[in-house]
Amino acid sequence: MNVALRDRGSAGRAPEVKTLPPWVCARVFLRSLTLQASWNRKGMQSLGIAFALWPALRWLYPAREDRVRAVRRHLALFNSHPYLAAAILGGVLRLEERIAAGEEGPEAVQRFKEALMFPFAAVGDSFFWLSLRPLAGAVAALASPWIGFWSVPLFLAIYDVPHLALRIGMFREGYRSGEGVVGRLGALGLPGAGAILRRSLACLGGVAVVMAAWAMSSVPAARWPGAPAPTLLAPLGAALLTCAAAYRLLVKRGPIAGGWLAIVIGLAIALFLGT
Amino acid sequence: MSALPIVAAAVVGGLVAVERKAFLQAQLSRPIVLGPLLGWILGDPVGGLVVGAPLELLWMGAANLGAALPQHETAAAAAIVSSAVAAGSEGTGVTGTLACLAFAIFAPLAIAARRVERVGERLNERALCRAERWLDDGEPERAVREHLSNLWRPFVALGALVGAAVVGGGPLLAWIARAVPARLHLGFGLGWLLVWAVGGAAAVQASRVRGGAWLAAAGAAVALGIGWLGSGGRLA
Repeated sequence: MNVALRDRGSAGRAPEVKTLPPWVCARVFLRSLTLQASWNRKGMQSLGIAFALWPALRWLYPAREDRVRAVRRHLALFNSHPYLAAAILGGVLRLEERIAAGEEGPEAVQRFKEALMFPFAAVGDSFFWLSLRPLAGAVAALASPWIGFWSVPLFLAIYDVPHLALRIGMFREGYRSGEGVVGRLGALGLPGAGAILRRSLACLGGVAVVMAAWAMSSVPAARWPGAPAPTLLAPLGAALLTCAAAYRLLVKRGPIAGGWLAIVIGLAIALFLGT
Repeated sequence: MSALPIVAAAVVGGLVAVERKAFLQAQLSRPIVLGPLLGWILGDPVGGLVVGAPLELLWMGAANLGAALPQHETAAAAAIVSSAVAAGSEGTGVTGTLACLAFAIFAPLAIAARRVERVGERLNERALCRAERWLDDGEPERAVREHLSNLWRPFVALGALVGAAVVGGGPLLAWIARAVPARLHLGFGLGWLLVWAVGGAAAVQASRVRGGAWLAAAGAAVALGIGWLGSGGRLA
């Protein structure tokens, strides 16, 4: 058992701050991978947090009543980005150690979670859901005609290397530095990086349109009437028209309507060509 | 098609349904991964990729932000890929016609599955209430165990969907494809290629940047330049 002893000052008592063994921290991290398994509108990820923390709470609080109180305080509403919640969980572990030793009141942990969950959610949503994932998907999809099945590992490498590195690293940082994790996350510059990724994504949107036109120009039966050789202009016009029409439609009706529109335009072109 | 790949595809479908939100979220449930994976299990990885890649572009903007649920791209992609590959296994392989028909029929599952997901959230709320009752009874371990009590639901739901898409959707698509007039096959083929162009629009929209259209135009110009050079200036 790894137990650190710290002086508490003039009283002369030496209260124990029990440091969690690494295997308990590892179990908490692994269980945190299921954070959203019971997501609901009442407590959101609260039950997930309690589930993830359970090995640590059981280790820190031998008495059943203390365990009940500890689990109950983590059933309060909690919602954050599932990856960056790992950083909050790390900080919560550190706080729970102090609460168990009587160095902090139980309300400290709720204050800590409430202070971080929404800012971390905003950063995580913006970087992972709205920047890195779309870009990784676009790169892999656009590369797929050339690299085939390798587009799958390419997508996973672009997305999951930063994802897992950040998730593990921020959990450790949260546990090591508690509230200092905010500074470490800020130093990563995720909002700025996300903005660059989103601009790159917009550029890839144009590449997708050209790829559609190029692929259409290689369909012999779709050759423009009277054209002696394959031409890119007519397919490019069709792809641009489809893209422009879909842009408006996607806003109002979503991706399904966009896909249907593409099919309808394809059928219309075929009927126009009279095949 | 024998029973083994169908069962394997259903199990993989179920696992990625759990992975999508309840465990890890390494994005194994995205169409660009799920498409080739299901295609490989069902005997046509290239077919799975041909269908999955444009679906990835279409649904790239789907994000679970706060309490807002996006369309369930995994359910739709699983059904579309499974049915198209199963239909193609009758001899033609995955064609533009099969991909378009699969999309036209099964894409709305993305909306239906989102509704099912919402029901799942209500069931999770009940699990939370049960957990609170366990705490009242002084049983913290049982309380936290409620967290995983509904994990089997997305597994079973999407596993069943994939199984049904292979067994029922595949033959249905093949039958419809045979009934499609020959001159429309070209249209479906072009339509599936144009889904990439819609994906381009989805990318610009998902980027949410000011001047996204201009950036897309710049990207298109660069791609055209590279393509023109690569083709020796033949295409113009």
